[in-house]
This record gives sequence, C-alpha cells and structure tokens, in this order.
Amino acid sequence: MMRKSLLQVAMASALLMQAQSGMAFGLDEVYSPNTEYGEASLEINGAQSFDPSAAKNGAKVGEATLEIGIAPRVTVELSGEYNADPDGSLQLVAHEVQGRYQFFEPGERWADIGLLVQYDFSTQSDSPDTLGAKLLLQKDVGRFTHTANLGFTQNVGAFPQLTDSADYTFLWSTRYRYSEEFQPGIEIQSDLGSASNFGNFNQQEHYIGPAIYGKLFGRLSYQAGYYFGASDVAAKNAARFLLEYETHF
Amino acid sequence: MQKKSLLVAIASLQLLVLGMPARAEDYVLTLKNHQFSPKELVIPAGQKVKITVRNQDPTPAEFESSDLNREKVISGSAEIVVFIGPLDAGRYSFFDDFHRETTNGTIVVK
Repeated sequence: MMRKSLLQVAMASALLMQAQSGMAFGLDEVYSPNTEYGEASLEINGAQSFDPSAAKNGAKVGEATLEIGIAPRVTVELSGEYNADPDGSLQLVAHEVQGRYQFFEPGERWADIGLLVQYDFSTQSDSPDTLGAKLLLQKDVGRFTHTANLGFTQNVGAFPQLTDSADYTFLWSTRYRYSEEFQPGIEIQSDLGSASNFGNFNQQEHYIGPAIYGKLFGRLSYQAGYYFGASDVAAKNAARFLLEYETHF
Repeated sequence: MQKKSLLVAIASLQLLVLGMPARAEDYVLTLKNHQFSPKELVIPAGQKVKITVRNQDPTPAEFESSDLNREKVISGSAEIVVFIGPLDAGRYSFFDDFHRETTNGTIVVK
C-alpha cells in the first residue's frame, strides 16, 4: 500500500516537473530541407520511451500524415497526432498543418536550407493549440548526409497552467548512404525546454542513438532509431520508427 | 554583448550559407525514348557541377540517385537542373524512378 503511494507520488512529481518545464516525451523525424514536387506520400511514425521508473516508461507519440509536394520547393502535410502518457492510452491530441519550403536547389549552395512551419489544432479542451517553426539544414559530404533541425514551439491561447515561453528543440542526423535500401546513421534528439532552461543540461531531454534509413521496392521509405537517454529527465531508452509510402501525380 | 554575439553568429551563418553560390560547370543529360544520353557522363573530381536533365519524352520521369542523394520529378517535355559534387573519383549510378529497370546511367568522376 505504502509502496503504491510512493509510486503515485513519484509519477505525479515527474509529470509535474515535465509540465513545469514545458516538456513532454517526443521524438521526431529529422527533416530534410529538400522537398519533392509532384510526390504524394502516406506516412506513419511513432516513438516510445522505456525506463525502469513507471513515471517515464511507456510514453508514446505517433502521427499519421498525408504529405504532398504541391509546388516546386513547397511541401504541405496534414497529420493526426497521437500521444499517451506513461500511464495512459494512445489518443488523438491534435490535427496538424505543416508547410516546408526549400530555399535552393539541393547542392546549389554550401549547405541546403529550408524552413518548416507547423500549426497544431488541439483536440483537447485543456490543451492549447501550438505554433512551431524549424530551420532545416543539410550538407552532403561524400556518401555522408548531415541534417540539422533547430526549432521552437509556442503555445497559442490562454492556458494559465501551462508555460507561455517557447520550447526549443535541436535534432541532428548523420547517415552513411551505403545503398538505397540500407543507410546506417546516428541521431541526436534534444528538447531544450524554454530559453531560461538553456545550460541546464539535466533538465533538458537529450537522446542519442543509432538509426537506419532506406527505401525498399522503390516506394516504401523507412526509418528506425534506438536511443539512449543522456540527461536526468530523459527516459533510459527510447525507440522511433517511420514508414512512408510514396507515389507521384 | 550577448546581442552582439548573436548578430555576429547570424551574419556568419548568412555568409556561409547564402554568400557562397556554387561555381558549377555545366553538363547536359538528355532523356529520350526512356534512355539517358550520354549513358555515362564524365565529370571532374573535386568540382561542383550543374547538370541540366532534358526530358524529350512526352511522359514524366524522375531523376533519382541514392549514390548522389538526388530525387527530382521532370515533367514531360521539360527540364530540371541538378547540382552535384564536389565528388571523389568513382562511379555514381542514377536512374529514372518511373522506369528504374531500363532507364539508368552512370556519372563517372575522374
């Protein structure tokens, strides 16, 4: 009985800490700045945390997306976003509209550069909409592709119990293009929290781990990663997957 | 002081990314009857090159190469520009993703 109470207190404390810092478990695709005009794709992706502590174990995020390259250098995405707290079940939490703009032709400049803007319409009465943006950078060096995303998310609307400050993220991926089907790499996924949290490494969620990427049968792209938590608030481990079926119009 | 450092960082990034346009040598690849011509395109090692891919077929194609990390749809009777390199010497394959078994070629870097 006592043990159960302690567990409940620990879970409540962990959830409170995350709410105060504006962070929640979430791993995302590392976006390339390069879009594909004339391509439409259906994509599902998801991630889950693994931790000995019940307060951090089994958190899930997921997304089902329709992505369309509607114009040269412009891609639009419509998504349903799902998540589950460690002790909860997966539920639809937002509808997302996202646009990605590619500034130059791939390889035209020293680095490829793009901008992603997204707006999440919350389906939950106690959660705000969010507006986010990411600077997308990519550089090919030989058979290595390095990609970085620097972004922020801002709550929209009056929700006094939630933070007003923006939440910043940093994502990095380096992959070796061994073949079309198999491209091993490494990813860093960091939720830096609010600007006041910068420099406080252990209060930010940092994950690092191996990932694989590739395209099968010319149409089915995949990504999978397994991560190790590198800071105190991160779960011990996490995993992420993505499947995308692409076609042309 | 912090604001000044931020401005310097932004200016440096701008110079690095925006201020260095490629000085690319021009090459042309033609796609006709679902065949690339030339089948092997020879380019110099260590240089950025600009390849114009002209699709002379009325149907669309997709220039794609995982070796080069490029993927771009070409409408029928249209052309696209692809920048590649600088590359090490070697052979880099490419293909039309809509006819990948029969429509392909190689970029030979010397």
